[in-house]
Amino acid sequence: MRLSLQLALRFLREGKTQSILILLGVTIGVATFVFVAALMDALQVNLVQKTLGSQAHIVIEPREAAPRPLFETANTVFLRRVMGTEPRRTSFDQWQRQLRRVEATDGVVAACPKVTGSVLIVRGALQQGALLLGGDPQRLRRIVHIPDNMTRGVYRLGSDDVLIGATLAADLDVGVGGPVRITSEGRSVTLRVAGIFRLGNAAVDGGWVITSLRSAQTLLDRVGDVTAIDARVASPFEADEIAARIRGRTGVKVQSWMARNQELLVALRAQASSGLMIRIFVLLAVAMGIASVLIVSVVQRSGQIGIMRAVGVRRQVVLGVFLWQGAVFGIAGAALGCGLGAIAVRGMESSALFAIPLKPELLATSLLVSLATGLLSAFLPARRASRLDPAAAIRGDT
Amino acid sequence: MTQPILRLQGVRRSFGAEVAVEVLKGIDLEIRQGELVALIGPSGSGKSTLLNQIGLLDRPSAGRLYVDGTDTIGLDDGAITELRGRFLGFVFQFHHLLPALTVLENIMLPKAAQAGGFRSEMTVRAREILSRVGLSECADKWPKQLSGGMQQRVAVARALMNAPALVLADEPTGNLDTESSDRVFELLVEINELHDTAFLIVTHDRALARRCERVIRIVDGRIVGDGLPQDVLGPE
Repeated sequence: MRLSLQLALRFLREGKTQSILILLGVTIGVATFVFVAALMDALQVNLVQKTLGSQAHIVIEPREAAPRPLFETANTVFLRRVMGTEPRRTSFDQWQRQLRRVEATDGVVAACPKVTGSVLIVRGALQQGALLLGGDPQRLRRIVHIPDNMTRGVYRLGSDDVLIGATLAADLDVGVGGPVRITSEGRSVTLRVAGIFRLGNAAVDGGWVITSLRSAQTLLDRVGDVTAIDARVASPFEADEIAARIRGRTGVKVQSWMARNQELLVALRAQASSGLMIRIFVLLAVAMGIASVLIVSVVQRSGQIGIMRAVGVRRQVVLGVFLWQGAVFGIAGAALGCGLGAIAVRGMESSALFAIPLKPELLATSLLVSLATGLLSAFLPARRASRLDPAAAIRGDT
Repeated sequence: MTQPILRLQGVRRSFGAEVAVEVLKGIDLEIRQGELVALIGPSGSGKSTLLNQIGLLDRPSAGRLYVDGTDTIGLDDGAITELRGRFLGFVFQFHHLLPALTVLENIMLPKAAQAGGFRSEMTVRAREILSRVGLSECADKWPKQLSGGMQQRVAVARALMNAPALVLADEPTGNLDTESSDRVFELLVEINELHDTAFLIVTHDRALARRCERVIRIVDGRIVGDGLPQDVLGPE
């Protein structure tokens, strides 16, 4: 073992109380670091999952007609106001070709053409407005996680089947196998409830009905047409860049979930920033704790450092003695802090409504950050110790 | 006559930048192998400053300093530290043992500094020296468990670990009672005679200085006497 490490361990053992106290401080600091990081990550993932559980990462829609001025005459100035047109039905030109382009875009893992529109659901004397979503069941399941969230019945979308949100089912007092009539602009069809789902989103659970693509096209008078193509990407936070790529390939209107949920993104960023600030302040407190203890140690041991130098201990070894102490605080504090942080996370998880995973990367990062903090905070005291004038140190003049 | 193991030529040392105070004013001095030399002088005369120059703990403002024939003036800190550890031993008034190390580890420290760490094979020599200073049974004790006299004997043992040619002792008995003081001095004389190790002992104790074979008196940064005890100190 190197002399610097041997002396560092002896010094730590000699100042046992001081060592234990600062180790406790580092442990609590690292535990806070681990806990806050795990909690913030889990909260972010949970929020994103909740948000994206019922919506696509990217929505590709036909281009809307641009509003035009009513008059356009050369050399004439009009005081005019350009108004947008009333919402009108736009067919999705060549959507099958666009679907192939979307699927071929890097980062896209699934795509589903869909038809959506407002309908009225009638069950006996009860009736309720709803959003009808029609799609291919195999494609749709990769976009919206309906199959994992079936509370009753099965995920099946045959020509007579309809899936219905749990709240809506309760409002209409309908169960699996029960018939419901769906009407839209004079067209009407009666389907049987194949399954009831609950996504945990009030708007979806209380207002969605899902049918096959063909049923929806018929009911909404869009035979052969779709209203949009939904896409899912491998990394949700890259949705903006992938949306831009799709826009470049298709030339139609493409929106990422980030563009459609700006407020959520702002909230997530604010949350991430506050989490980062907490972690930075905790690390600063840890660093100052280690540095102050080691500075006191250097002052207390200046006579001993002088003697060490006098008997032939090199300047670099003295530097190493104090750097090792910082490293030991960092490593031991990280090991204990990760353990304490894990206990705190497990304790929090039991009362939280979502899972808080402890990723190995977070523990590895905590170890490295703690080690770096220990070494950096030990550097100044170590440098001061190594630069002590041995003669002055022995005399006690430092 | 043997070659000098230490030679100072016109060594000067000043302190302070704006108003420089010259503490050593041109010291010429030689010490030969096996000499037992006392360095005496009033407080503030420059004894400790001179000892720091000889011990390579400080650098002269001017002059040359040769240790074992090596001119130390141009050496870097690493070379100075290596030379100091190999060639010189130190005994200080206040023992200055490292409380974090056991007695045996304190003795091994100069050797560990050379080897880059404590090694089990060093314990043989360390125990041998410890036995020579009469403290075999204290190897695994902590310094605070020993009396002042015992601690000073451990400090002497540490100074001998690398078998230095010259041991510098700064008031080695100044903080001890008469009995311990005599015992420590006897130990130095015994080592000097047995191993031909040179000693330069800074002391205020004229009786102790008389027991050395050579006495150097320094006053106001200059050597004003250098010779046999009776020549420098006068008749008893």
